[in-house]
Amino acid sequence: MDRSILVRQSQLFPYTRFLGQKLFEGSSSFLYVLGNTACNTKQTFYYLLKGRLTWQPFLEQAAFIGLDAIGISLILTLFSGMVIALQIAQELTKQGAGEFVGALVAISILRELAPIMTGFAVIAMVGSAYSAELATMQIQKQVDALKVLHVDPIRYLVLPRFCAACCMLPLMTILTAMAGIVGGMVVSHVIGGLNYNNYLESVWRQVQTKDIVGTMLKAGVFGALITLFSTSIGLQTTGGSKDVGDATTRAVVWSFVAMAIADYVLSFLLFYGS
Amino acid sequence: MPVEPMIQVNNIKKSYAGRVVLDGINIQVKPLEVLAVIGPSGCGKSTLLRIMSGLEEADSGTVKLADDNFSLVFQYSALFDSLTVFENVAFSLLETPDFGKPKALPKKYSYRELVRIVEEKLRLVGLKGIQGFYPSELSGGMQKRVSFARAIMSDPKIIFYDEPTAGLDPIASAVIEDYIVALRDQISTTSIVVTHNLSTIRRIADRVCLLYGGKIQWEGSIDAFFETENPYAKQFANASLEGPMTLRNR
Repeated sequence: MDRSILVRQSQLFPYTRFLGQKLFEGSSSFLYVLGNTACNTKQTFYYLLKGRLTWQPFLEQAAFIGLDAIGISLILTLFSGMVIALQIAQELTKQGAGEFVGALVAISILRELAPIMTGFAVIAMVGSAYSAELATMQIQKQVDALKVLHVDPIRYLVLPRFCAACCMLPLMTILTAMAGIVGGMVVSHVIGGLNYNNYLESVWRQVQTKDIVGTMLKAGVFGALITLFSTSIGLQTTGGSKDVGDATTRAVVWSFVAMAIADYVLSFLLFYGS
Repeated sequence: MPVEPMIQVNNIKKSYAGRVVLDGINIQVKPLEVLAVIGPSGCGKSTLLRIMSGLEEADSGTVKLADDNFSLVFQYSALFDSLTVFENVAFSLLETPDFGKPKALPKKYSYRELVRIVEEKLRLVGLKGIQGFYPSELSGGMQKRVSFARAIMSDPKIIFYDEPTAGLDPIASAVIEDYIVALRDQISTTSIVVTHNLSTIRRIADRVCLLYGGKIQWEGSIDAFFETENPYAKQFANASLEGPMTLRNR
């Protein structure tokens, strides 16, 4: 046998083993997060259906989500609307299709950008905070203390956050969508010289009830996914301060990915073919 | 007539990733006894306590508690940092339990009653006028005592203490140790105290159980512990580097 091949194999072996290990760790961690989140989701719905939601923590969490994330989601969606208008207003007006600018901006904001941008803002401001808070509680044995006091951490910590996010995101999305449409209107007027009334007429003509219901539904699902992944990842943290940081990063990444997949599925179910 | 033990631990085994942490542990604790489970760091003391309190499952073996009404005091207090001292101590009365049946907790209290009960429990651990403070505004010793007050809210018959004097200065440690004995006398509790602090053992323990290498290496009364010729107990009692317990094996 060629000796040089053996040498090359032995040099490569540590790397292939390392890659294999990393792949195994990655896939087992992937399955662990998915399985754990699925169990927590089941438990959350169990307590929700049993009527175990307490109002005070729910309202506190709703206020936290609203106050923390509304500013950034308004800015994100406002500028998204302005950018869309900037890209299309002048060109469509030149082509004599200025009456469609409002409709195009409104549909893209309502169906896609408002829930996505609100979701981004909530992941950044709230999801990361949830995973860090719960991971710290887990490491400091506060979660164990809850169990010793006969309180299920899913009911006490996850359920109010889950319900608050499911309620607040749709409301926030409607507000941010309005900001995006208004932003598009101002830019269409300044850049494309479009009349405000024509723009708004175009919006009313094209926007249907199902667009508004669809965007609210999307936002509600995003809120559920963000809280379930963030809290589940936070609650499964072990170790020290570095692990709190890792948990926060993982929660953000998982929330983004889950939201992107849910966005496609929901867009297909709600708007495809319409 | 033999006294029925309050806590019976039978042949508990536990491994983590192939490493045996507990290998056939048997313990019996009599009513009102304070048992100190000692051993070097990483020998499985806290794991044993977590198994006894139901926070972790053993690979095999059983734990029998004569009374379901038990409580656990955590190493670093584990107070809920978003709640005030009042809310922490009254937690078990404010929250409806999701599982288990804590017998000693009647369903509803008026706010005035809650304040009275919390004040009484805090007084038992030598604290007053701190109900409105958050845990981060208290010293380590005070946090520990608040966690004692939270633990005794349901008048438990068994209390597990995980390193109750960890991170405290000798005087604060002595105060905590005295409260452990006082609580035993005042609310009639049986206690298991996990520690590696010799002064704690001297001050509070009726009996000592030395854990090392997953097994109980020595068990006996507190007086016998400081006189025994058992190499493990002798090494631990003298804080000696010479002996069967090495850093490598931990």
